[in-house]
Amino acid sequence: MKEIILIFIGICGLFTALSKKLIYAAFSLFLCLSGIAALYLYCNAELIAAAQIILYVGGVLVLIIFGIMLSKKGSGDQTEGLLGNPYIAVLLVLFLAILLYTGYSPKIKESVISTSDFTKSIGQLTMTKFLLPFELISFFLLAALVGASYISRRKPATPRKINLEEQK
Amino acid sequence: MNWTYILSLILFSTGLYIALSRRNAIVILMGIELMFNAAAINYLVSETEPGEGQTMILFILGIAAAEAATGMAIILNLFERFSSIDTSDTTLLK
Repeated sequence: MKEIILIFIGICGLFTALSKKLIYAAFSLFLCLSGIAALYLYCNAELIAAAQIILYVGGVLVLIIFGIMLSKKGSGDQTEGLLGNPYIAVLLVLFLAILLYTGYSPKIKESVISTSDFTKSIGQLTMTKFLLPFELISFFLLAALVGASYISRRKPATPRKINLEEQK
Repeated sequence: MNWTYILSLILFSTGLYIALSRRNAIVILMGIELMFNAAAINYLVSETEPGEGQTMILFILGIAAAEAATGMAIILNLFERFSSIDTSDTTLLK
């Protein structure tokens, strides 16, 4: 069962890289993130799985699909030249993965699946050991949201629109 | 051999390839999201104390949400200025 989830996530991730159309890439990313939520559920991490679905599938992907409306027709197409070749792409991805594997392979327990109640220990850890990161990330989120609304605000006097043809 | 760990490596490489090879700003953002998720899976696999890796995944989720909000704001601004989100069009400093 776990192997099926893993293969599903991998195929969807690779399809995100290889798909010619932007909307296909977005929807395969959606399937990939949902598969990762299923993997979390399989590893008894219910809280993380719920957060993954709410934040990624509900939030980030809606933002991405909103952003697709900004792109011109055909602008999400595969890159030209050698890098755009799907075989070269798969080879590059595998090469990078092998490079990472040889460079960094920690001691990993064979089985991560246990039946203990993780949610209780997460709550205790965020209030004891990870209290400072927890407070910092709340401040960080606030700063990021204020910054995002500042960047994307409608300016009172719009700056001169840069003309691409004029520049060339 | 732990296959979840191998999957996290493959997902990270895929995200890196997407972020480096594509020109559309939104696809670059999607590649970065894939890299975040690969790091989260790696935390899930290699946690030493119960719940510790999952707490780190919660922080990763928070950072990813902030990154997506800021990235979309930048992309909106880019579109307003250049009428395009192709990163090869943004040649102001060239």
